[in-house]
Amino acid sequence: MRETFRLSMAYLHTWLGLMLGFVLMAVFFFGSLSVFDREIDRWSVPETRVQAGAFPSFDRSVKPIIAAVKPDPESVEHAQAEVIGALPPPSALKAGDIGVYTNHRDPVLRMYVAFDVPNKPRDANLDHVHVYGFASVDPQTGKRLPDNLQERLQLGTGFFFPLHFMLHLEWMDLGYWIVGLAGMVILAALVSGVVMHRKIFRELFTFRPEKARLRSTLDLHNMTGVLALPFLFVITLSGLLIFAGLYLPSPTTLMRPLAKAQELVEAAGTGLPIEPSGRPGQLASVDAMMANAKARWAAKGVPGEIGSVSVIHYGDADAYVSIARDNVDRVATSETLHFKGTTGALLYEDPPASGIRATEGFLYGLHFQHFRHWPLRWLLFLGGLSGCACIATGFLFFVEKRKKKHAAAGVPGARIAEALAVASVTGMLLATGAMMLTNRLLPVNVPGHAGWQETVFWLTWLATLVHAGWRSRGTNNVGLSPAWGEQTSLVALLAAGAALANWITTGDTLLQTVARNYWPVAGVDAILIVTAVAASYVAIRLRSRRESAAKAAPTKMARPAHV
Amino acid sequence: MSDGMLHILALAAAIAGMAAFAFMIDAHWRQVFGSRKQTALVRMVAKLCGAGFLALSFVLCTLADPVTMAILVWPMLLGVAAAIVAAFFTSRHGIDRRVDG
Repeated sequence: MRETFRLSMAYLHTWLGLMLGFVLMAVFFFGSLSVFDREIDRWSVPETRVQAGAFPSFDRSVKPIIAAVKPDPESVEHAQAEVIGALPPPSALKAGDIGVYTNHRDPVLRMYVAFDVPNKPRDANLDHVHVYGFASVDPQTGKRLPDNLQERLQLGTGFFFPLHFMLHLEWMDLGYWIVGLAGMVILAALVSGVVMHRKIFRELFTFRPEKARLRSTLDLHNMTGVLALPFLFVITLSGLLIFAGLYLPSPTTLMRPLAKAQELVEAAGTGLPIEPSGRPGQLASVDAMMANAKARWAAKGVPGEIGSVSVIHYGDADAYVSIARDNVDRVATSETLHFKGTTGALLYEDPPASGIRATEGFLYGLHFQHFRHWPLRWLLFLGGLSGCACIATGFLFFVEKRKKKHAAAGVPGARIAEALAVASVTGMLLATGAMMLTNRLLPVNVPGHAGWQETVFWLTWLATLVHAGWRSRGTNNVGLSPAWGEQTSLVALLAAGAALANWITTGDTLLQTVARNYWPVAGVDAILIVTAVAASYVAIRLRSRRESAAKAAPTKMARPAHV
Repeated sequence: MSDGMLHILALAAAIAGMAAFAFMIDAHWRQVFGSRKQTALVRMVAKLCGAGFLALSFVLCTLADPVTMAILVWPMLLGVAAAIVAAFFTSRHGIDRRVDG
């Protein structure tokens, strides 16, 4: 009974892992990069390579900009599809809510204006549809950044981060659902992996690289999976919980009347109006509200830099301003202070979180990682890469275990799986490297600058799949596909090339950025150089192993059959 | 003491704890002590030392950071410590093989 259960778990682990491992590889790899998304942003948009500054004056730097923010054409198009009837012209839309935010790692103050839309939403479960406009402010000078700079693709927050949780598949939220399914699969794979592992403690510290390839691959798969098990489990669970509202929408669909009633009860308790009054109102000094908030945080002895300011029902007599801290000192999101917009009086302070709220805030916070704790940030990055290593070695084990059998039977299964594995491991690295190189070399005045970078990424990834498929075909299921080595060599070239291109186009070398203590760019360059060195080492090892195998093969063939 | 130093000490304690646990495993014991017998008492001492050092590592983490942060830092440090101990035994295995061979 016990063995049957273990075998069932092994079957589940193998096939679920194989089917969604390719997605999980991308989710974990780009999730790891997203730990340093703001730093990658600085690397990819050199004009923003300045030290992060404190939240600037709202009254002097933000308020004058609000009227100048125009609805984003893409957002207008998106909103049009969600409402009944034609939208009013963008110039006729009125600003409803304003959001301004930054953090200690971001030298850019980001801002959005949510414009009210009078049309009824097509989806009866939606209260409102908004059109959004965006702006960025330099917190050092308080000046709005030029539009062409704002439109530049920030590789970290603009591309790698969304790829991590929705694969850039927006149609019907398909990407979110695929990633959610993959998240459920890895939870099942982790549990089944623990069940099927007979010697989980006895082999905890065991890696035998000198043993047969199958054994050493399994050692590495077990070790990376078990050592990072708590991290892999919690990070996956928290990721699933973040999108629980999408996966389990009953609170906003089936239970909507109850949710609306609850919203009204809560609004009555907090005094924060759900809807605007319709009467115009003048916004009081937000700077004074910010000073008030800082004084309250100082009295509690917590770090008091402003993280975000939101103005709800802007221009209305019932407007209110919500101010939250930049959570540098804690994992969970912190409580927010709410002020009456027209007078600046404190309306409501979020109470200390209940047990459930605190748990939710902790899980949310550990996934978004807004804290200032560099050792922990690096540990989480390593945890993510450990997940990638676990998935990659899982692929290798699957392929190696079946190669001989499939070669004898003349079926291409292992070969196809290997081609997909090559594309999702080295291919993904190549696509990332190609995108970073393009980011540095493509002149910024080229029309569709952002689009070209994305195109290079996807086409490179596709090309690596074609290459892997083509090279695996020639192996006839014997030995490692040469695509591994070839693509690893290219990864080394592209990583070194990206660091070099950064130096040529900006004058920033690793030594200079370290000397200047400008760690965001120094860190990205250092990782690129380490990747180039590690990939070169692996490529040389793979090549020498392949050459040794090629030399040994004719000797074997030359032996008389009876020996 | 600075937070950085506390983190380094926490990692050192975690490595010591993981190493003590590793010595409870026959194969790793033999890698270091050869044919010397591993008694039940030695196993018990290793177990207690392992648990003690890991607990010390957690205390050091809580001294460096708030508890809500320390409960994230500590398991991540344990993973790194276990990987370092595993790397030690892997290299030791390689050296032994070369010497034997």
